[in-house]
Amino acid sequence: MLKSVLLVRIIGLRNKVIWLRIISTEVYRKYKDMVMYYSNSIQRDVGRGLSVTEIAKKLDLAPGDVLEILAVAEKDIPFEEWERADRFKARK
Amino acid sequence: MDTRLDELKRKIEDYAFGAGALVVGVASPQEVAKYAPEGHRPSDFFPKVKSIIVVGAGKMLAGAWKCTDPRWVGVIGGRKLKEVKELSFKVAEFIEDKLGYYAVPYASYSLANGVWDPGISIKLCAELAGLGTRSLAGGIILNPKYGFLYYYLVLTSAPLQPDSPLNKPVCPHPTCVKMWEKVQKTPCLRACPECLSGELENGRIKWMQYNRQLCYPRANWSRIGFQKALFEIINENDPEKRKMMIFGSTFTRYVSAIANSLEISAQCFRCVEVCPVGKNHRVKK
Ligand code: SF4
Ligand code: SF4
Repeated sequence: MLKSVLLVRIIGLRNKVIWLRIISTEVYRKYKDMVMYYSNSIQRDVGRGLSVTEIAKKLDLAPGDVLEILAVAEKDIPFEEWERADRFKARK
Repeated sequence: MDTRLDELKRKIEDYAFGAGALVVGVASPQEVAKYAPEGHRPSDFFPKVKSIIVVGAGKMLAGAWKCTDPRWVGVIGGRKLKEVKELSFKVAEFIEDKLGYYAVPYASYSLANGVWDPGISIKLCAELAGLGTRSLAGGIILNPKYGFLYYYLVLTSAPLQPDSPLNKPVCPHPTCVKMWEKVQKTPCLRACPECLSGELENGRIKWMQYNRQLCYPRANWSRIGFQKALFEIINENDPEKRKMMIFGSTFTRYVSAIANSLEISAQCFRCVEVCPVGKNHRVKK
């Protein structure tokens, strides 16, 4: 059962209602590292990363929870990494 | 196998090569399903699938490696990727219009559900279709003739004879084995020690690890670079500074990158550039 994904209501242009799916920050903090560990974020030669559904089963979360945690965690790298990346790629 | 099915396969291959494919192979959906988890099997995406055609192309222009600004490789890479995508659409249309079978192009690079949990592994399909093997460089599929290529899939209801995986790994190249014996490094490991690690033993990969999260800001995700920059801008309290951030050169490049998959936060080729596999295609007069 989905236990932690909240929907946030935003009033957009022309009073149109927009819904954003978000994960509760508490659940995010608690599971972020484990979700990333089981995902294919670090790929080792033995075995493969687990799918969202498989991670959900392992951590007793709903796939929707894992999806949201992963979506945020994959981007939760300091912005400096993007600046470093720019320099890395510009080096001759 | 029925010769009519071989004929069907030959027609598709001929069309794909004529439309710009450099390599074409067929993988069996049942074989893919043996390795892929539930929900990520070809029939989970397209229940009518009988064959998976893997098309590979997008060989980098040799001149791109010679530009003074190495990011130009990334700019051209973005364009090459689109060409292969177009190719997969054309092959699917050919199968439907000329051969009368269902066909659908598939690219797992498009963010499934907004995360990197691809519906079908293109690498797995390319390997099983005999187009290459995984490499120390982030597990990218190296084709023995061309080295790095972009791959797309076409799932079809046409029954085709599957190809076999290569029986000899493409990576490590003999020159990498020699280098390893001397300095315990290979060209790719030396080019990107942060993302890539591994060891060779008896001329083969003993173990390897790819830190995708670190590769991420360099090779992938122009959209995410944009999101990251946007987040920084929103958090900036000073409106004057915010203006400089939005109109400045970096954010302008991010905006351009999301539209065109360009160089700023996508398309790093450092590990590919040094890889000897397919190097002859990078040398011209
Ligand atoms: S693509 Fe770039 S960042 Fe990623 S592993 Fe290769 S050299 Fe490293
Ligand atoms: S540089 Fe050598 S070891 Fe690295 S991917 Fe290429 S062939 Fe493999």
